[in-house]
This record gives sequence, structure tokens and C-alpha cells, in this order.
Amino acid sequence: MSSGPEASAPRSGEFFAPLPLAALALLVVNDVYLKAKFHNFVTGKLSDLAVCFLMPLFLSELLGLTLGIAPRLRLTMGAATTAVLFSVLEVVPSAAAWSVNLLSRIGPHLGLGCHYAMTADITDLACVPVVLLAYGYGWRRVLGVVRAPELSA
Amino acid sequence: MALVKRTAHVLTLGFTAFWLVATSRAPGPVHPCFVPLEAKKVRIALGAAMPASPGAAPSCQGLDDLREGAVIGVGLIPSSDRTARVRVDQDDACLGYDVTELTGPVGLSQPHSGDPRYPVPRALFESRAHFSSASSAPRCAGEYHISVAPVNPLPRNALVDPLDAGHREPWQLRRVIRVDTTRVCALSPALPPGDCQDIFEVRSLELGP
Repeated sequence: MSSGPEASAPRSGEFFAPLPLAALALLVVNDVYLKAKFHNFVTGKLSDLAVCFLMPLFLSELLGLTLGIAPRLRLTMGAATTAVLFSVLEVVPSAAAWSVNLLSRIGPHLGLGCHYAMTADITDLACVPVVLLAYGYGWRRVLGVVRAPELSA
Repeated sequence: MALVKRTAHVLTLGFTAFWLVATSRAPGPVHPCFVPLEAKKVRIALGAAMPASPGAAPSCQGLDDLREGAVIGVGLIPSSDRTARVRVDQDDACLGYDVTELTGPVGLSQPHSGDPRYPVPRALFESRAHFSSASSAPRCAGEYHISVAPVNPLPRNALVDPLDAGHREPWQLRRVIRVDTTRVCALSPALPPGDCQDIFEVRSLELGP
């Protein structure tokens, strides 16, 4: 039987929050408008930064909602998955090729077409530490919700 | 209010999953790749058919009379701005031409340009049509797809001249016929239902009817 703050922790809250949603909005705006207009180093990195921040929290929230996993564990899983996946795709060309092949099979079912591109760029690994920021933000979000009942007691 | 918030929450999660896939589609929009053609029609002479790679679709065996030495005529107009919203790999996303007319292959009807959302990489043009062969019994019928593109990757910051096709630059014409699965084309050897494909070298691409 679990006890302590995590026993009453919510199953979500780390993703449906201001900063992750802002990162999602930035990702969309960058992909739809900024890349087309500027297509430079900055627009190339903005999407990576946004993904490294929102994806750990997105995965964490999915794990909480679907499996009821405790916050610390699901945040760790979300962060680790994002960091490993992002790093492998940037460093291992065959992994990127495999992912492109997978996306080309999934994409048409989502109305997204079958042409994808992933450029292995080791400089993109500079975005991976953002995953740690996401972890910290997610923990503060969940911990803030968990602690509130104690503070009001 | 709780229901609205929950609905928004679910929709946001769904949209995020969708966009995490979509974000890998393209770094940029289609862009001009080719020196503009100063005519509305071109003639394309075909060279030898390239050997099929292992696992590729079988040859169409000249169902549409396309063979080495054949000449096809294509009516072209520059693609409209709608293609600028296509999301494909930037290096291969070319602003090319829409097809208004296609002569040479037999058995075609209703030629039209391909879906602009899913262009063939590097293609000068691509066209689709309904295909029905009169040279076999029972009649072969299905979908027809043809595209013409340079063989090599496109240079950055430089336009490729289509009139160099076959002379200074290798180009290829790719033709796919998707045979109606409800019919079997009685050829020797029999062409089963499904895709057949041939890739021809382009011997020349010239302006004019």
C-alpha cells in the first residue's frame, strides 16, 4: 500500500499546463509559418527545443492517464524515452531511416502523406538537456497539486 | 465546465500526438527547381528501360506501347500556388508543372496531375490517368501514373534545366500501371493484378508539340 504525497498524486497535470501548451503552439507555428518564411538555423532548432520540452510531459501524462503510473516514475519514463529516442535518431542514421519508414506508413492514415525526412545532426543533441527542464517543470506541477491540500490543512 | 475542460484535454493530447508525427514531414515548402520551360508542350524521347531492382514490381511489357524509342507529348502549365502548401522534404519538393495533355501512351483517358499533397520527389511533372488496354483479352484496366524527374539529387541554390535531360544530365521517366484486381491481363507471361512498373532513361526532352 502506497503512502505519502504520491499516493494522492493526480494522474495528469504536467502536460495540460501553460508552458507545455506554449511549446506545442510554438512547434505548430514554427512548422507551419516560421520555417517556410525564414528556414534558417533558428527555425531548425526551435522545433527540436519544443519537442524536447513537451514530449517528456506528454508521454508522462499519457502514462498517468492510461496506466495510473505515479508521477515520479512516469516523469522519469517520459524524460528517459525522449532523451534516448532523440539522441538515437540524431546519432544513428539507420534509426532515423527506420523511423522515416515507419512514419511513411503511419502518415497516410493521418492524412499527412508519405514523405518524411529526418536529418541526423549531432548538434541537435544540444537540445536534449531541455528534457531535464521538462522533468523539473512537470515535477513542480504535480508536486504543487499534491502539496496544496497539506498547506491548506 | 469540467466536461469542456476534459474534452479540451483529450483533444489537445490527440492533436499533440498528430503533430509529433507531422513535425517530421518537412523543413520547408516546395520551391523552384527547374529552369522555366518557354513552351506549353514538350516531347520526351525514351531510351532504354532500366533493369528492375530486386523486389520491384514487374514490367508492364509495353501494355501502353511505351518502349525504348517511343516519344510522348506532354502539355504543361506551371503548378499553381496550392503546391506551396505541400509538406515534403525540402531538397526534393519541386515546384514543377501540371499536366494538361498526354499523348504517346495508348489506352489513357482523363489525364490529370497527381495529388499536390503527395508529389513525386524532384519531379518536373507527374500525371495520373485511367488506363484500359485494347491489346489483350480480357481487357486490362486500372490506374496509370507517369512522372519525369532527374536521376541525381538536385543541386542547392541552382536550377536544373530540363532541356539538358539525356545530354548533360540523366533523367528518367517512371510509369506505373495499377491493374484492376478484378481483372487478369492475358499476356505472355501473364501479368497478375497489382502494380507493374517500368523506368526508362530519358533520351531527350525538347520543346514543341
